[in-house]
This record gives sequence, C-alpha cells and structure tokens, in this order.
Amino acid sequence: MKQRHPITCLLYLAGTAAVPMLWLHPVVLTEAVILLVVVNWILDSGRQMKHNLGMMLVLAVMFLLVNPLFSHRGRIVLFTLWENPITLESVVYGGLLALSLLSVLLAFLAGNVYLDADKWMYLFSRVAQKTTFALLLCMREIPVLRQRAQQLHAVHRLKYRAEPGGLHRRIGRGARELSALVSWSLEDALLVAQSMRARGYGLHKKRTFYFSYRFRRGDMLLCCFFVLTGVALFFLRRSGGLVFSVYPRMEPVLWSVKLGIGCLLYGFYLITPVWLEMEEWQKWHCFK
Amino acid sequence: MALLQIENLSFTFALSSRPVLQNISFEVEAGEFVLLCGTTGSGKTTLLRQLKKEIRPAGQQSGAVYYRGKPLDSYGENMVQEIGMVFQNPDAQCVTGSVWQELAFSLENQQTQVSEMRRRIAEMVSFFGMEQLMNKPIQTLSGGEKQMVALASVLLLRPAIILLDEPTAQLDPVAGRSFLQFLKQVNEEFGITVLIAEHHTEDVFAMADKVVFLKDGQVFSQGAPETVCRVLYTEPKLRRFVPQVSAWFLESGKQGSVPFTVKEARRQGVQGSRQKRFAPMGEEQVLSCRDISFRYEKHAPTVLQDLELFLYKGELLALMGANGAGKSTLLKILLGLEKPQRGKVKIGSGEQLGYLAQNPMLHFTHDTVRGEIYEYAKEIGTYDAAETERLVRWFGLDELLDRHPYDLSGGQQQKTALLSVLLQHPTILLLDEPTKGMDAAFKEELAELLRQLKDGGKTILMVTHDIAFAESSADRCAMLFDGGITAQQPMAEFFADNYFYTTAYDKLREEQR
Repeated sequence: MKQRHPITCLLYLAGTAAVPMLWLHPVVLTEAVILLVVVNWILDSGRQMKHNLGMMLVLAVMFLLVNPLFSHRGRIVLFTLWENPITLESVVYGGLLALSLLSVLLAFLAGNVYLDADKWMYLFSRVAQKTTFALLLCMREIPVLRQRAQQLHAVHRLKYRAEPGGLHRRIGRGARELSALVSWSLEDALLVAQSMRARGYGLHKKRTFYFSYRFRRGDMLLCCFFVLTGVALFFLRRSGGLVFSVYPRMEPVLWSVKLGIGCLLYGFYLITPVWLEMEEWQKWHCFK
Repeated sequence: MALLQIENLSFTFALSSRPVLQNISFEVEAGEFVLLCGTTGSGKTTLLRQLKKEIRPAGQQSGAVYYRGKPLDSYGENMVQEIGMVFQNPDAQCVTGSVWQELAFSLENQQTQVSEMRRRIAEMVSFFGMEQLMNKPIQTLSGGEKQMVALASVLLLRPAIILLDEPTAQLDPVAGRSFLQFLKQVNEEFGITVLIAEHHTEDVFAMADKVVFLKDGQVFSQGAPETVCRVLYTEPKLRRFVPQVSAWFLESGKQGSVPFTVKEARRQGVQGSRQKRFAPMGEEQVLSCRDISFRYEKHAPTVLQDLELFLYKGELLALMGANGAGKSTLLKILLGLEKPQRGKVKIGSGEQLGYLAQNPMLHFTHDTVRGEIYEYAKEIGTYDAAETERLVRWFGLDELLDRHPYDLSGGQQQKTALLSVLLQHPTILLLDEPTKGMDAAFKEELAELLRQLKDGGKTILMVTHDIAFAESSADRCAMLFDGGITAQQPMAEFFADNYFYTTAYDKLREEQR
C-alpha cells in the first residue's frame, strides 16, 4: 500500500473512514475495528497503534460514558445515577459511537503510514498550487529552525553562564535567544528568496509540480475495486433492512444474507493492504 | 564572438556615493573556465550579480554587458535558463526540504512537463552519482553534498554559463576540492562556460583558462593564470593570492613556466620554505581527557571511543580530521554540553573555557557591535572600560562599533565574536573552525591575533580543516579518526610524517621520498 499512488491511497482512506462513520451497525463496526487493527499491524507492526493506544482508549471510553450520562432516551432503565435514569439504549448507542470513533482513528493511523506528507502534498497540489508551495517552504523551515535553536541555545548557555541568575534575567536571556533566532532566520530568508529568483521563480504565473508517483495499472484496478465496492455497499444499504436502530426502540441484531454480503464486501475492502502485502511477500519468497 | 563581454561596467549601490565597480572590462569565451578573484570587498559578488538580471541589486549601472553580441537586457525571460548561478551558502540556497524537490524546483518554475522533468532529473542524478541521496531530507546532507545538489539543480536548466559565488567557502577542503574537480569535469565534458569567484585560489589557478583579479572594484590584472600570477607576485600585498608552489617557484628566480601543482613544481625542482618558529611546549597540562567514549543515543553508532587528548599550557593545538569524525562532538564534551558515557575530562584548577562557535552569527544578541562588546561585558559583569577599549582597538573594531553585526564581513564578524568570548576571561580558548569561509588576508590577521593571545598566556585548542592555517599558527597537531586520536605531535613532525594529509612544503621535500 505504501508504494501505491496517492489517489489510490486517498480513495482507500476515504472508504475505510466513511463506512464506520455512516453505518452504525454493531457487526460492521466490530468487524472494522478488528480488521483495522490487523491492517495497522501489517503496515508498521503496530508501532503507531502502541504509541497512540492510551489516547484512543480514553476517547473511546469517554464516548461510551458521555452518551448514557446525557441522553436518557430509551425504554429499559438499567439503574439510576444521581437521579438520572441510565438506559440500555443509550449505553448501546454510546458503545456504537465509541466503536465508530475507534475505527475512524485506526483508519487514520493506518493512513499516516501509507499516505505520507509527500503524498498529501501531491494531492494538495492538484487543488491549491500556491498553498502547496507555501506549505513546502514551511516544511523545510521546521527542521532548520529546530537545528538553529539548538545551536543557539548551546552557545548562549556558555555565553551567559557568568551572568547572575534570577527569574528576571532568565526571561531576558530567553527573549534574547528568541530574537537572535528570528533575526537569523530572516537574514537567511533573504538568501533563500535570492536563490529562488535566480532559479526562475516568479517568472511564470503557474508552475508545474514534479512528483515521482506514477498511476500504474495496479492503481487503476485497485481504484475500480474501491469504487465498485463502495457503490455496491451504498445500494445494499439503501435496499433496506440493514440499518440497526437503537432509538426509539432497540431492535435485535438479525442475521441476514444481505448483512453477510455487506460484511464480506467491506471486510474484503478493508484488508486490501494485507493482501497487497502478502502478494509482495509471496513474490519475494518465490524468487529465492 | 565572446559569449559574455563586459565593457566599462561601473556600479554604485542605491543610497551610496562610492562606486563598487569601476570600469570593469573583460571577456568570457564560450567554454572557458574563468576564475574571478580578489581581495575581500573588491566587488566579486556584486560583479556576478550584474550578470544575472533576476538578482541584480538596486543601484546605478553604467557601461554594458553583452551576451552573444547583444546587450544582456535585450533578452527575455529565458535568460534564467541560459545563465545559472550557484551561491556561497549551502543551507540558504536550498529552497525545499528534500533532494528531489530541490532538483525539480528550477524545472517547475519553467513549467516543464512532468515526463520531461523525470527524464532530465534521472539523467542528472545518474551523472552526479547521487541516486542514494534522492529521498533524503536536505538537512541531513553534508555541506559538500548540498552544494552538489545546488549545482545539479542549476545544470538541469541546461545553461550556457554558470556563475559561482565562492561555492566552496563553507566547505571543508576535501569536499571543496571534489566540488571543484566536478565543476571542471562539467566544464570539459559539456563545454559549459564557468565563471567562478573564489578566494580559495590554490586549487582553482591550476584549472582556470583565464584569471581576472579585482582590487577595489577595478580589474587589477587579467589574462592567463601564469601572467596574473607573475603580476600578483610583484605586489607584496597581493602575494598571498599566488598559490604556494607558484610563489616558491617565482621566489627561486628559475626560468620556465610557472607551476601550479606539486607535480609541475617537483619537475622544476622547486624547494619550499617554512618560516614558522615553534614555541617550546609547556609542561603543565591544563586540560586532559582519558578514555572518553561517547554516542548520542543508546543504539546510535559510537562517535568517540577511548579517546585521549592533552592540552599543555600556552600552546595552540590544532585538531584535524574528516567531516563527521567527531571533532565538534569532542568540543561539546570538553565544554560540558554533552556527557561522555565513559571517561572524564579534567580541567586544571583556575582554568576557564571560552568557546567560539563555527558560525559567528550564533554569538550575536545585540543590534550593534558596541552592544555586542560593551553591553555584553556589563551583562556578565566583567566590564572594565580601559581593558575593553584596549581589546577593541587591538582587534581593529573601533571603526565598526555602530554597525549591525550582520552587516559586517565574515572576518569582522569572526573577530567580534572572538572578542566577546575573550570578555569572559577564559584561559583556554576552544575555536571551532575559525577560518571557515575566510580569505587569506583574514587568516594572516587571525594567526597573528592567536599568537599574541598565546603570548598573553592563553591556551588554544582549534578545530580546523585548513592545513595551511594549522601550519602557520599551530604548535601541535592532533588527528581525529575512527573515534580516537591517531596522532598527536608537534606540528613539523606531524606534517613530515604524513604523506597525503600534509602541507605543500612537506609534499615538495625531497628527502621524504
């Protein structure tokens, strides 16, 4: 998936995130969470997932708790908390929201891996040229600034070690360091501007953008698959009987062939990175 | 017909009455490699800027510049492609964050189609052999690599002539030399005309077809390298611009053509000479490190391994070594900015360290040189009117007190920064490449300053790449390699024992072979 064209990646991301947002069905959501965990695992051995586990769980639990605390709709009262009836329906709905949120977060975490900054740039450059270029310049400036700040800090620490301490002085030193950083960067910006002009920036109103991505046959096939699955799911859902309603009356989760087909389609869509990765893996091992 | 013809060109900056360039005339033939050199402030950069109209500074120009026989200004926008320019500062001329974006930048400006860009970039990257750099962030590249990227980015436009403004000034000598070699290759293989301003003339004289020497905004001498060399040698003040081996040849009064390389000089039997006297080495160790080992992170590669280094009172030790050998890291450890995982730095009692960073800009916190010196001394409580006054006069900064530190020349900035370090009353000075980007005149001045500081009882440790400067100023040399100090010897022995990493004098000595 990492090698795929930005448009393919964007389409996949849109699908993975849209379905759990729009289709609050316990079976579908559970499926989404499980498969997205697998996908994340395949893409970067779960590194990002581990890193953000705390944040995700806190958010999910918050959704789970907040809904029943504030919404008292529903018929079956489980218990009363501070004179507030807690209903089964609102608990279930909170749970659905939590699952939905979890899958969207997982989808974007995976997206972080296969849709990196350069690919986003490519996508942006199709819509907003100037903004994209400004963004590019900014992105260069971030590591440069960090480096400069570190160097300045080291020198200033030595330069002012003889100065008496005290909060007032410390603030003064910080301000001086910051102003040195700003004036240095401005000075540098002039040189950058000169280099840009010398290389012909601004002579023509429009620029082209060079990206090394190529829309290959594989991308075409994948995009067709994504679109077709999306369309199929849309019509399947519109044909009725697949909406799980909580309010005003909770329905039992009924298994049906239609639901099965929906789950299968969506599941197959979700694990695209997995089978792409497997294909790669297989190629490697066949060559050996 | 000459490719570029400059006739009686004069230029005065806006809001200034003194012309920076006066009646400059010379020609550049297609395919020539032309060296433009001269004293600091002689107008090299300003002259180059006149030839590229996108970056011409504001001011009054008279005279004319012809390109292929027609006035330069009569050409339209596509001159941007015809005349390329590489600047001095490797960091500031990179516009974007990654190598491939940087390469594509100039082509994108010309609205080149993506397929065409892809082809040109592929071709250029293969020619430069920088495939492995393509996906790297520019920040992680070395200075030499950045300059190569800048050159490649300019060449992508397929210019007829490239102007270079001291492209190797910020590089270490090894990277600088390979950049110049590559430039020569581009010049020879494709016939691309080169006009390069350099004060590191040692290597360029041998490559150039023609030399133009500027002095105070006027052409002092121009012609074949040999001709210019002989003219410069007759002027005692300009003699230092003559490459070392050529100067020795002219000194010897031998007949024949002036040599520019050690090979030619040896063939002509040129003997070197060395004037330096060595200070006797003190006994007392003011700084010592034993068994220092260091790495930045737990799993990062080892930077320093069992390193031993001693500094004796009153000496100047030059610490040399390749890029990334850990010289700057070692300085940080000595200063206590980084803690070694193993080993200890011992500093003699009563000794105090002073540190001059590679980039003098890092030291500046005030709006004027005066603030940088007087205000700063007051801030850290070491202000002494008479003493500060004496230092300022000694460093020759008394004329510049009201200037903004950023407006000073590189050498003046370096002196201002060094002076502010001296205000901390250090007994040991740690200098990180004090001659980087400096011209020959400043180096002489600095060598003299350092000698006087030593006489005044200071001990100096200097990190440098500049072999010639180390020769003229250091008492001892140490070489950092593979995380440790491989040689730590008095200067004369150090260079005599080296075969490749050594001075022109030692390369010419007969008995060594």
